Amino acid sequence: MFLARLPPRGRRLTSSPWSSLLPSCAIHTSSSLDKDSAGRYKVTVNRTRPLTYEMSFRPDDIMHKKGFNSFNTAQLENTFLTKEEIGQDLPHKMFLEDVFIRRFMYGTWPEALESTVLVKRQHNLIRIAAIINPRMRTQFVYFLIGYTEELLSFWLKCPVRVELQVAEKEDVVYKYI
Amino acid sequence: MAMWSTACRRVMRARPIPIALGCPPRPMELVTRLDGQKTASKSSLSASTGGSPHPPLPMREAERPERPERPERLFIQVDLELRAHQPAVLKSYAWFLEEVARILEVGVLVSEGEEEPHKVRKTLLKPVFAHSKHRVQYEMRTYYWVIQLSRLTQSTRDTYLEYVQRNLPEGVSMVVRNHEIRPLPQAILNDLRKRETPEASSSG
Repeated sequence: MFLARLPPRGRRLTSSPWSSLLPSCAIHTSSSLDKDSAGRYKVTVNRTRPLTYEMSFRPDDIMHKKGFNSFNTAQLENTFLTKEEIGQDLPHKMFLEDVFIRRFMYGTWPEALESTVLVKRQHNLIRIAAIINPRMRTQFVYFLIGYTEELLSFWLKCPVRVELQVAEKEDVVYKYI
Repeated sequence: MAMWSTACRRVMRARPIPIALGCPPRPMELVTRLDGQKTASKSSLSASTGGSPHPPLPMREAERPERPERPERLFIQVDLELRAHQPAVLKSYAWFLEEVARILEVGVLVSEGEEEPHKVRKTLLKPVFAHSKHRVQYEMRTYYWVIQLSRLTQSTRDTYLEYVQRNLPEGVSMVVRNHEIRPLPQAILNDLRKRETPEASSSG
């Protein structure tokens, strides 16, 4: 019996009649991929995706039907472009601090956050507000509040207060899409 | 007003609230403290302090030796300029300022907001690369409100500003401009007198 040396796996597959249907690497070149996709959620067939009140509105609706998530005075007229007078770049500093706070909250509270994290700044104080679900035990919640406040105040060099509300997921969902 | 202003200062010092912790006192609490004579029975503190209208002074104040007080600075006008992104918050805070001024018997000359905010518009590229025809526009609005208070003493001004600034909402900033009355410096006074006396002698 004479055994022919089979070609390598890839080549064998591409020589079949079904090769055009196989997944392949290619470069997309189209002009229709520059559409907005921020803050928009795709509709499901079964209408099972839950949206909170905030998620159900687009970013265009901020200041019309929706509120901000972060409250500070860094973007006001005489604070925004006054780096030399103030001595530090407040808008960018506060923005990065907010990003850090949100990542920290998302990671510290295990699957407990039901809403987006609000960050409010009054003078020196940072107030972090969020809604959590009642799955965790009370002792753990208190420990995590103290842990969050202590570590964040050391990192951000200012007092931090965490203000939480507890609500079930059904109470937080506004609609299903 | 002088009597009330020292009472206000004692109240504020008796319950020191660090700027970071605790709730700032609400307006109604402050009213009951100022009217301690009338509402001593209603306030919750009267029970703990044995019925006296004012809370007891902290020990260090009582032990501090008497020192001569300087004459108070006088302000003919104090301007507060408020800035915010949200007009509703600004309007509500302005109402709060007017109410506190009314309670502390501080005259309000002017309290008005500008209807049109200051806008900064930015037109940026929508996609990350190419497609310069597609842009996205952002706008930042700053709403203004001006309040002018008339004829304050230093202690009144300090009390008012401290209370009002502790309750400054997030996203609102305040700029305070003081118009102070001071006596003329001695050198200028002497110069004026010198100029007056030769004229009096020449005319007379």
